[in-house]
Amino acid sequence: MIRRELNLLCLQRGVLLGAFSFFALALFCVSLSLGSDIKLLQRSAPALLWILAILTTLFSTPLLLKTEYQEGLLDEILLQPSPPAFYILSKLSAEWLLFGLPLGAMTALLSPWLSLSLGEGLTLSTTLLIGFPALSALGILGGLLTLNARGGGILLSLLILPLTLPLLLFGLSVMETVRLGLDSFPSFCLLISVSLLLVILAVGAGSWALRFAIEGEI
Amino acid sequence: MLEGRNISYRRGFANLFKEISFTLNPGNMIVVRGENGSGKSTLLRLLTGLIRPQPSTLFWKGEEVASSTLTDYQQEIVYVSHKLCLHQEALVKDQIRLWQSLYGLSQNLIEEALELWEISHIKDKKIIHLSQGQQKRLSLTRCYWQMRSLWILDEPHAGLDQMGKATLNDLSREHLDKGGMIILATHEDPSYDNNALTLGLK
Repeated sequence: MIRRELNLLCLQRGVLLGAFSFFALALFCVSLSLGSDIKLLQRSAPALLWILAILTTLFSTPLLLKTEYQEGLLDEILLQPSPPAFYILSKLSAEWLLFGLPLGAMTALLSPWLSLSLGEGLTLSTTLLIGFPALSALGILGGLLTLNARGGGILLSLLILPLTLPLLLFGLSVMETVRLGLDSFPSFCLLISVSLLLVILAVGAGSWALRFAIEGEI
Repeated sequence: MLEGRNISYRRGFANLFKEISFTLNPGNMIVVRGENGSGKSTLLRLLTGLIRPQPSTLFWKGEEVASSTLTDYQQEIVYVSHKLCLHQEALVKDQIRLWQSLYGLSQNLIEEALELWEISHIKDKKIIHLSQGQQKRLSLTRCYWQMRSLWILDEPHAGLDQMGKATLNDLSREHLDKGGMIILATHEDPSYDNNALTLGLK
């Protein structure tokens, strides 16, 4: 199943490339528009990177699902003996490998634009990698919920964006402890647990959403 | 065998169809007929369990198709809908690889099916570049390689040329002779089975 999802993502690499270039370009624009105040850049960098990562993931994951749905491929998934939660989990892992890892790498590489040191950049990308499963799970959930809806994009941002807030806050608290030179282990643990919790929630809700989307189809 | 008892379906406040009953024995087929929009596709989706059937309406081999037995039942059916279930961006051979990893099949079986449908020469093309009829053929190969007893086909003739229709009819006849079952929604006249039960939807 995971192999299938990996193959599928490779086929849909156009969407992924689009997402990556959006991420890089938006980052570039932000770093330009904030000017040369290094203190300001350093203060706001983690938050900006996190928000950009959230937006990129939340708005490209549903695109991947939409094409699958329109071609009737989700029927095939539901006719499989394995439960839909398994499908969502394998989609999640495939996305982590092909979407999350490159995104994390880009974060680490591009953090000098926001005048972060390499160490800080690496910490930031680690927090992103920890949070990414939850982000993509929420993206999948949102995509499944809005499959039959017109104007799904706006609905998606209203429904799902608030759910990513805990991730954002805990991710940033990790960065804050690192910046102040405190022990960052507890906040890492908190971030991991929040991420896991959101994954479980989203996968559970997602398998229901998948069933409803398919039943409601004409 | 498959048995339906008083299957009804409502969408919103309107009944799409009401109290449909039938019995399908091995070696037989059902032809579902009806105007456009009369609910043929919905009936077929209901029979695949993609839309959950109401309690005690659908029976497979004497056992009710309920949530506990649904997956077992679904492993006995091939469902080809009017959506073709193909990855448009993929090459045909990529699609074959995806099927292999999803169903755990040998490649030979699928290639055999491609040859039966006379499309083995298009393996290096992108699916989106194939013609409608070729895509339909590719989608219909799954009847052959899935090797399951109940075929549920939603307007399989649409888009096929004469040769394709003949192939489909040959394969169907063979399947019925082997004791398989077919449920078919179509506007054509499948001449090869005179015992076919016709379900008319209004």
